[in-house]
Amino acid sequence: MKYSLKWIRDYCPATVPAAKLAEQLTMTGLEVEAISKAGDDVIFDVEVVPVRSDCLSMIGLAREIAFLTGAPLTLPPVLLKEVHVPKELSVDVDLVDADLCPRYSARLVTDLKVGPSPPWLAERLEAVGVRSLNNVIDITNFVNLETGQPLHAFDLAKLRGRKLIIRRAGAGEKLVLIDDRELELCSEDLVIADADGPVALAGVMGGRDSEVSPSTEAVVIESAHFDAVSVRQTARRYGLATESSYRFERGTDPTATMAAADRAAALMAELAGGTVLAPPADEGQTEWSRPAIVLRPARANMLMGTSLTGEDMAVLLRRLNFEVGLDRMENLVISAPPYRRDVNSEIDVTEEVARAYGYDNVEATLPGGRIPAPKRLPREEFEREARDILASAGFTEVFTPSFTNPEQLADAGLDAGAAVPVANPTVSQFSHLRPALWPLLAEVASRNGHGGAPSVLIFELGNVFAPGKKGEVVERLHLALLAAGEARPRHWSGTPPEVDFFFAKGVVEALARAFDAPLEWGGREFRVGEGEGVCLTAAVEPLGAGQIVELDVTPLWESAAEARRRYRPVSRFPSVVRDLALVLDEGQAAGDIVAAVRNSSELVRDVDVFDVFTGKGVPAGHKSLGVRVRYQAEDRTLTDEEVNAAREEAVKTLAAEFGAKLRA
Amino acid sequence: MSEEAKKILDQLAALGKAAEKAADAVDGAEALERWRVEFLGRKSALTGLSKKMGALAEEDRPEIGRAVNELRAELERRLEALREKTSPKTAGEGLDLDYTLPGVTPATGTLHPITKTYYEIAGFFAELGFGIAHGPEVEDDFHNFTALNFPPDHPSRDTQDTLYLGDELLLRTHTSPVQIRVMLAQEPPLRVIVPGRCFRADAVDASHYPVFHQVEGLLVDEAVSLGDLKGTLAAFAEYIFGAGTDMRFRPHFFPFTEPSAEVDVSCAVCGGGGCGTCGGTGWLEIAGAGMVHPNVFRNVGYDPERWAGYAFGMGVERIAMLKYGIDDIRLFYENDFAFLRQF
Repeated sequence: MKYSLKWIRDYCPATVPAAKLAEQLTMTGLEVEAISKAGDDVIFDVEVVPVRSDCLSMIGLAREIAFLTGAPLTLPPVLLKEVHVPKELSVDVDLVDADLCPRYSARLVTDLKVGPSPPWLAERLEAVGVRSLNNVIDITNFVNLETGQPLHAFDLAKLRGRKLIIRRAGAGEKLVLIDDRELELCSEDLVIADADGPVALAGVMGGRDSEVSPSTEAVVIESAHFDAVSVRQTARRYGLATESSYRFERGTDPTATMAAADRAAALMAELAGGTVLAPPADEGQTEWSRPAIVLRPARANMLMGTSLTGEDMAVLLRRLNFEVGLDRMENLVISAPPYRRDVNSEIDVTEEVARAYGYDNVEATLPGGRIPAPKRLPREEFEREARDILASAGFTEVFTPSFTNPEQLADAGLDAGAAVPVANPTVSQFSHLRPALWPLLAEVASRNGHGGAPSVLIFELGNVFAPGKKGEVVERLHLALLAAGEARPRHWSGTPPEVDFFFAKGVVEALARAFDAPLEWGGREFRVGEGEGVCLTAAVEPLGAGQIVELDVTPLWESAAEARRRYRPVSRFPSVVRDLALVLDEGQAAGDIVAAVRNSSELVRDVDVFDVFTGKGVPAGHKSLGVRVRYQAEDRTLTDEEVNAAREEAVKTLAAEFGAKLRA
Repeated sequence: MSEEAKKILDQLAALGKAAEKAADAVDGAEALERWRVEFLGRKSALTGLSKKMGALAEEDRPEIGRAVNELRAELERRLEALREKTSPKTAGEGLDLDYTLPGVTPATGTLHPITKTYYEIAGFFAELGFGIAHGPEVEDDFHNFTALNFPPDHPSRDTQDTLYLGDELLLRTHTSPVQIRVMLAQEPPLRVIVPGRCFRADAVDASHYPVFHQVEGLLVDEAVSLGDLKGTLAAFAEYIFGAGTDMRFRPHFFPFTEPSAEVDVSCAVCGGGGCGTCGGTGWLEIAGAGMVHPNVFRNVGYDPERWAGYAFGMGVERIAMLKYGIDDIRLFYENDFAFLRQF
């Protein structure tokens, strides 16, 4: 909200320089976000937190400035000359729904001459960004900005039956607002109605038909206390946000309604030639008291980390206009001023004491107390290790937004129905939650490829989302990586190879090994531990085919937490290597052969594939597979006979199960 | 030894000398091939001599055979050496190494600056005995708002700019719902940080993005004070931004803490004098913080008379931006290598 320091000086003549004052306000919880000069005035733009509705006015900020500077606070005197008339000739208010409007005050002012405001009034308003319209409207706006109490003026001549009824709307009732929008109301809306129907949306906006015009001669000034939740719901229902609804939503001071109506009436008498009629209307609850709050100084000191006396606290609170007494236990008994709607409990008062004492004056200490026993953090440990492995393997970590859109999903060949839509997206490309990481990685890869990178190796660790069966959203932690272009950094000594499926597969193998998790492949799909993953390719312009791995990792870190790595004795005896050059059917999977060799003898330590080829020297329809086997025992040096026997065993098994022959 | 055998030995010696002499003239691949054909080819003198072995006496054969093989081996070594000498060289080989040529850089990737910043933050709090908890990104009203003392239909909810997934579910607007999950699951004393992704219905500009990361902190014990919170975050500021970094607490409002504060650190760019980065104030906001509200304790079944606690939440992007001097939050999600590889 914008505040004029010149205006505020009408109530509090503090002489602190503006910059210093801004600093003090900021440090007391009213952050001055901008300071601007306007002629001989200085305008503060202050962020007022939602609970400090008492500060949404010039007097409200003047109160804080008076506290901060010690300067006196002087409220404007209200000198009302009333003309008493019979009640039926004054204002007639029927408060029907007092649950949504606990108090409704109103004044009738007649004999008005609507015209331009005096320059000082127009200047006051324009300084804080409110356009001057005419003296009557300006006075309601002025008093709103001065006191924080929203006012509304009805043209009496346009109120059918000369009366105001505060009631819930009937479903389907219509109201044309002053901005010419026609609303169809519902029964939860509170309206001000005349004898024929609604004339204002209570606390939000007035109606066009009862608006003050240049020919208006008499107005009813409304000064009400509307229920905050009701005003908020109605304003949101119709997409309205006004100065009035802003203040009512945040809570207004129910004790202040009559005084604000009086202040506006007095100004109308003074500036628009009006006659103020009496008696005014003042319906609903007119007496308001605040509950007593007990503040235990010891508890407050513990929470603040201070050692103030009860008296120190009382002095601070009294300067904030709190009433402070003592109970028999030496506790403070507090009554908050009526405008402080936010102070209702001991912790609220503690905060006021801390704020008044100054957070700056609280000594900084490190926490003592007990440190809970440290626990293992399997997910955290998994994430760190996975990141380290991938970064060491050349992959750069990326963070993509958690969102996608139907177009991106279609490009990736994914069904938009498999993605969870966001109900109120603010950015159109972010209309759905991502069901997989890789489409976003493909976009990142392509962008970097176009940027000139000859090689893109990237990964992301993040959540993906899918619609659940019962309307819930299923959230899973995925790891995805993408490799496209050259497999290694360029070097003058030679051209690096392009990435291929086996490059991506090798990374999966490294991860499985690091987490000691069994790895099984079925085509391009795999399981590592209990986690399911898949290898894909996607076009990555301009680098060609990108090799992609996407893996659900939650089961992996869950099982990693349980897996306990056990040491296996390191053999001190030499190992012996034997090669098998096998001729196989072209369609025979190498994986089966490697597995069979591995299981062919307990002496087998490692099995490596060292070459695969077809063509020269290999019969048509066949391929040659070179397998290197390392044999070792833990307790002895193997003899040639033992190794040869083990190799023979493997050859026999391969011949029997796979029709494999040794190459001549 | 027969005369015949002696003659062969002489011929072998001469052949060796001739080959050596001819080798000196080899200056390219073609000359090398001619040399190979002449001295090691199928029609070479050496092959011819070895064919004469059969005609020798039995007792001469081993010695002559050895001599023939030795010469052949020597010529083959010579051939290899000549190949080496005549083949084209790449730039780094040979005796004249150019040490200024680039090395072979191992293919290593980098971690995202948000990850690196988070690890630094977590490192500080680990030393103070804080564990780590995670929670879901898709939340419900209870955990994100109600249990954190946001009244229904209260303007404090407007400050959260919530993205909804329907009537029941929403994307968490802060990591604070994990406070509730942790407290519902565990008994005090508690020290925990919560890293994670959060979401706001923001438009995209240099300082706003619908996705951002927070680290939440929660400490619950029998005697915890605002002073402890100040001390913790002051030490944190120096740990992250360097010794001499100043910190201040400004009173603020959050529904789930009271007293509440916004936390500023002195601007590292201008040292507190005021500059463009800090908007002339000399201070940069890094966190929201406060003492856990008694209503939050009640909502999780803790006795607010027995327990006290502090909580804070900091934006990881914000801290990374201040630490590294990054001026646009979008850079974190664009993933341009020119950006990522600086970390």
